[in-house]
Amino acid sequence: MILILSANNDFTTNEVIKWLHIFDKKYIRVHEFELFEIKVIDKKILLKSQRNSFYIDDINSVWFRRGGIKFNRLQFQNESVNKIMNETQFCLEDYVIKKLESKRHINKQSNNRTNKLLILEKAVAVGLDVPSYFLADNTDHINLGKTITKSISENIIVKSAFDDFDGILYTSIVDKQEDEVFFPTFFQEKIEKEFEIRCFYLNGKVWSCAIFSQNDEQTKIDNRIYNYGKPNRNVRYTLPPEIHHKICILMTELDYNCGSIDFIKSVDGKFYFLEVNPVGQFLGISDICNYTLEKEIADYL
Amino acid sequence: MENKIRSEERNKLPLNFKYLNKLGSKKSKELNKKICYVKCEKFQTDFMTRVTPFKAFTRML
Repeated sequence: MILILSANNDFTTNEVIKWLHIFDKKYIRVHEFELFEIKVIDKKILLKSQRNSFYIDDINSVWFRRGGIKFNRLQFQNESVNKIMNETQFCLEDYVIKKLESKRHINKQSNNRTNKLLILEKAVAVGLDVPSYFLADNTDHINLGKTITKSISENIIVKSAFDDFDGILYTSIVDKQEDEVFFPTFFQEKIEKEFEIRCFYLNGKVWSCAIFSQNDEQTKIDNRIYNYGKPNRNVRYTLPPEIHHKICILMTELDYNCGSIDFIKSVDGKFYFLEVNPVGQFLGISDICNYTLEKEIADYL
Repeated sequence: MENKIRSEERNKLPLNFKYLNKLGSKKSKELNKKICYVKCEKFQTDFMTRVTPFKAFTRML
């Protein structure tokens, strides 16, 4: 039995499930707001929520996509008892999560938080080229027009930022000095690019797509500001073996066995690593390049 | 259009908030309202998107 930890509305999960049906593989899908109780029946651990009930021994593989297993933790009247029981419940919960992660899996619930700053440091350590970057709370040492700023958080959508619209924090060029200091912000050298590369990594295999975003003013800084009228040209791409090798080392170091990775191929021929997202979207490159990555995931599970 | 987030917050924000973009368009918002999801037991989700095939049936014959 396959355990899928995902969001109820995750479209990507539906696409993988289509292939699980084709392969006739059985699965349980856990939603992000499900709360589980840990029960023991005949010495076997049973996880029970309002939607699902399964023995962890019956799970053969786990795909962590979104959300995760969450537990209904009990509270106790006596403060001291509550403290002990809190620890006891944590031990059980932690055991369940670790047991599930010890099975065949794609990414881990316990390792789902990315830290872009640490990832960049590890990328440098494995020998990947990374555009020079720094944190600052002022623009005194910013090379205007040649420096970008972007979010270090995973979530880049700001609800109700405008009267009628939500906002999104795309990568932007810093072109003006600021008079006041601001919250510590991530700055990075702007690389003149030949094209961008979006990769999907799964257990040592890498599928890549070149995105020719540099010829369009709208997409040249951030290709996610899509030009629907005249979309960027996207084509299959094969990374040089040494970059592939370094990606494998980096992903092993980060303890991710799946993820989306972004690169820039610069005009001087270098491959600059930008970031890794273990739960990134991959259906786009799967469709455009005909990689059927959703099939690869279903096949692995 | 200036976003209202920076002026509303008492604490300082990172500089990239100055470059906040609008997400989507009025048209896409209206389209989103029209997107129909169905509950689907087979896929264990309440959000199965109802999509129309993008290839003409004649091409599938």
